[in-house]
Amino acid sequence: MKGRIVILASSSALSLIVISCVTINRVVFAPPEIPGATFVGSASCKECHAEIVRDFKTADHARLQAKGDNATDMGCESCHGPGSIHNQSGGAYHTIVNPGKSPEACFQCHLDKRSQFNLPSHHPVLEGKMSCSDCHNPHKGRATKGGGHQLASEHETCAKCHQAQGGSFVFEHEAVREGCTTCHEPHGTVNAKMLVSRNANLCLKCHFQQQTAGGGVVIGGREHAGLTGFLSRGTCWSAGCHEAVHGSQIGTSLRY
Amino acid sequence: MKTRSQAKIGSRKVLNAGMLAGAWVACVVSVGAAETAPAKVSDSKNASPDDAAIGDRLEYNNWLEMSAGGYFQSGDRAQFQRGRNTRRGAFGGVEDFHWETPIKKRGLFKVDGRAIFDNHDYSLKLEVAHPETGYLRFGYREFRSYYDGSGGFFPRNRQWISLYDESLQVDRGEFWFEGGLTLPERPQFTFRYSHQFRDGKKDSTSWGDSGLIGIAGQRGIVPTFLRLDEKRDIFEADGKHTLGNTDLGLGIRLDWSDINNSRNIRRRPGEALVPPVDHFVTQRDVVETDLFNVHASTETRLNDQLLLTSGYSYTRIDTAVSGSRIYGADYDGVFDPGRTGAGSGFIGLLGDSETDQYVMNLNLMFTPWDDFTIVPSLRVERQDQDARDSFRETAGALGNFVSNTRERGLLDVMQGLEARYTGWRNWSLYARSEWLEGQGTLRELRVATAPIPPSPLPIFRDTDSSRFTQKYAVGANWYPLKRANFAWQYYYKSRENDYTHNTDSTFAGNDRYPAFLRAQDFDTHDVNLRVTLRPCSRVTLVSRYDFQLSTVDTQGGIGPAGIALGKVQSAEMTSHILSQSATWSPLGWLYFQGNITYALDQTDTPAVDLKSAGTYLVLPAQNDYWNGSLAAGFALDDKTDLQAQYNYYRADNFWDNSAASQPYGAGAESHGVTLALIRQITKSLRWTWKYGFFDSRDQTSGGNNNYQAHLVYSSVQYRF
Repeated sequence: MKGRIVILASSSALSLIVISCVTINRVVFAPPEIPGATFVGSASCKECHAEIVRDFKTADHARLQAKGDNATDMGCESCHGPGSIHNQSGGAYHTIVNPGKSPEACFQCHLDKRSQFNLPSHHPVLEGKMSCSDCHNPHKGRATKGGGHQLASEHETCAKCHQAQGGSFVFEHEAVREGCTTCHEPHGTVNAKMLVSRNANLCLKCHFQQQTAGGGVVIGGREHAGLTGFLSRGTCWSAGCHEAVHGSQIGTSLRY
Repeated sequence: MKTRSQAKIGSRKVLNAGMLAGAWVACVVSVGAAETAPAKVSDSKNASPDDAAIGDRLEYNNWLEMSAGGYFQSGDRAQFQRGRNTRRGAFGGVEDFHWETPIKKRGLFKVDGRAIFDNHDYSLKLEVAHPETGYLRFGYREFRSYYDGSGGFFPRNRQWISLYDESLQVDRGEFWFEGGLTLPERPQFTFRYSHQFRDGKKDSTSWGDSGLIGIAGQRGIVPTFLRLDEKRDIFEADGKHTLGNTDLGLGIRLDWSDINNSRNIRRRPGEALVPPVDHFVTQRDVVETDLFNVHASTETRLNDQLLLTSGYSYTRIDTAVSGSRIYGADYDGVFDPGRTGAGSGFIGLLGDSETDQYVMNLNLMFTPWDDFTIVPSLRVERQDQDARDSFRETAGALGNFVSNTRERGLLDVMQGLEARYTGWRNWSLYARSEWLEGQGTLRELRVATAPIPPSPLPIFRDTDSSRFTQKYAVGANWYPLKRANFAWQYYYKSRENDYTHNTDSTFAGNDRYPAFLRAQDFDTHDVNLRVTLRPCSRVTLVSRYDFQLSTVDTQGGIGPAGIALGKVQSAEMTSHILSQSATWSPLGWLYFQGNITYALDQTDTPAVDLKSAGTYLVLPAQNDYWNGSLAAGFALDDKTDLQAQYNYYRADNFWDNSAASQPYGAGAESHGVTLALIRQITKSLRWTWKYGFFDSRDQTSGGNNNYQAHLVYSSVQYRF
């Protein structure tokens, strides 16, 4: 039975290929290409997008630009696709790749991010509810919004949407100040809440533990081990002991 | 640091190298095939139905796309909705709408919209714009996100506790309008008002505990959910003007937010013990925040070689908090002294805080030669924060009245230097370094007053901290051929945090953070390499490798034996990500696209050696996975396309250590297949039909989160 299905499927596919081969006189394109368009260079983009082209030399992505015949395509069109039709049409819709609406252009180089957005816990970029440009600025300055020498910090970029996690708290979690990426991978992970680790190691990597005689584990001065101890209940926060992982109004141990 | 899992990683590396080599061989074979394929130029006047002919694309500026479909699903509904980010059942409406019409000479009026019933997926945007006058825009957007509110699975006795409908959802939305006055050669003004909201329920990973696990003790496996009610209003106004060779910017931002969220926990459900241990716990967090920000910037082109930019920002944040953590007979119940059991909560929380933040930055972009650029940068931030609150503890009955005060200050100075060189033909070289020096102070006072004396001693901490961060990055882009380019980057980052505890009255045996840490050093090495090859016009291959190694060295305070602790390596984190993509168009009417990623990721701490009940108490945290997709596009006839896609995901990190603790490692596999038929009926009318099948199996939940689903979908697009 299985063999018959394979033969039937193969015959159907072959028939389709033969029919298409002799009847089709057109081209299908793998996204994000622009049918019929050719590269015209960044200078022509300047006519309408003068400020973007002017500022681009300050962008992290400007590092892609080099002098030489082999690198001529590494301007605006390396992300936006060949611009001849967009140019001729005076900027008509659907004649240029817009990475702000589809991440496909970004994924051409950032392959690892494509897979991370396909993991069980991820920001909804592939679903079209967010775009790469919500957190990244490809045209000017640093590629990541916030952090480095920018006025805004990395933490503020995340708190723009995740305000409840941003605080203010009477008792802060120091890790939040170091940056949300200490505990979260914002593109996506195999773990719930985009956590970089799902078990107690997430906390223990900074919250140094001391192993004492008799199998004891002391964390922050308190015993946590044992068959019925705190560590056996599960992860520091999943076991219901340290719920206030972003900060607490109540106490320094961030219990709630 | 040696762990028992290193052998596993080692064997996977060999396997991975073999698979990568296999992928390359396949690609090379594909390349050869492509080169013998009949040549069809890409500037054909006919395109796929999806894109129509170029002339058609320019002829129609407006479109309306209507769609209808449905997901038919079996298995766990909540996990399906979370995984596919859509609801089960039928949906339909306006997929995409765009209409525009010119106003006077160069003006334009545009309407964009989307409304999918009943996925709560709506948007509307209106715009009137004139390039030499300004613009007015109005918009509304709302969409729903789906969550699975289930708890944890305990393999030892296959315990899986379900308390409520776990198909949770949160609606997010925004109403906004903005305007701008953009007269040429005049100061430009823009403003924007936005009202944002979040409303609904989502899952929490802070699970309640259960003793129904077949062995002694408890595990945190009982589902918990969050109830969100967040509102926010933001007003921004900015002005910009060019004076000579300087662009000046000045703006303000006012931000009011109102958060009324709760965490809803159930502890020990179904356990009939005396005294009772089955409790509902509701923690309510109410936060009202007022933010005022003023910012200014300058950009001065001193000459063709020098660009000086500067920025300044002052932010004031005032926050008022209130809330409670109540043990009761139901979620959001009233405080019941008889139900607190082993837990503790609080009532009557009232507090406030003030934060002042000052930031300035300065960048000088200097291009002494056409192919060399250097950018020194400086950033200074000062932050002062005062916070205080008070509440009454509950532990069996009304407990201590507690008041907390905290003062925090920090000063960070960051310097940077970046250089780029493009003097070698087809090469781009760059380097960047950053140094941050920071000083901080933290003073905390906790005073508890007992209903019946004596009261506990106050806790006072006074800590000075310093941190020093260094980051060095170097990279190169090389274009040896038109059809080949290489990108490589390496960075090293180190951060040293030191804490001096001038005063710490925390008594021994108690939770001693944050005064416990004396020093913490973080080191990271990160390298990535990307190779892009276009061996012929029909084939594109991109390979990428990302590697990261991080360590954390920590020094604590006084150990249990009263001896000062030395510095130890408290963590080692290793990550390898290998990715490959390939696009191949063997014939003009056929293309294939494939992507595959394999990741090896592990976090180890000294705790992974701990054993209890004959097994490991804390397992190495592994995030290994396979992820891949294969797509094909095929022209059936002059008006019809067939598109097929397959997606695959697999994680194999589940290790049952339930005898000692709760296992969390991700063990899952999912497959998705979609088949789409696209028919260009007329020049302006396109019909799409799609079928999809999705299968997801989850070992971590003991199969309780497995699902299968079928998608049937159709849409019609009309361009006009």
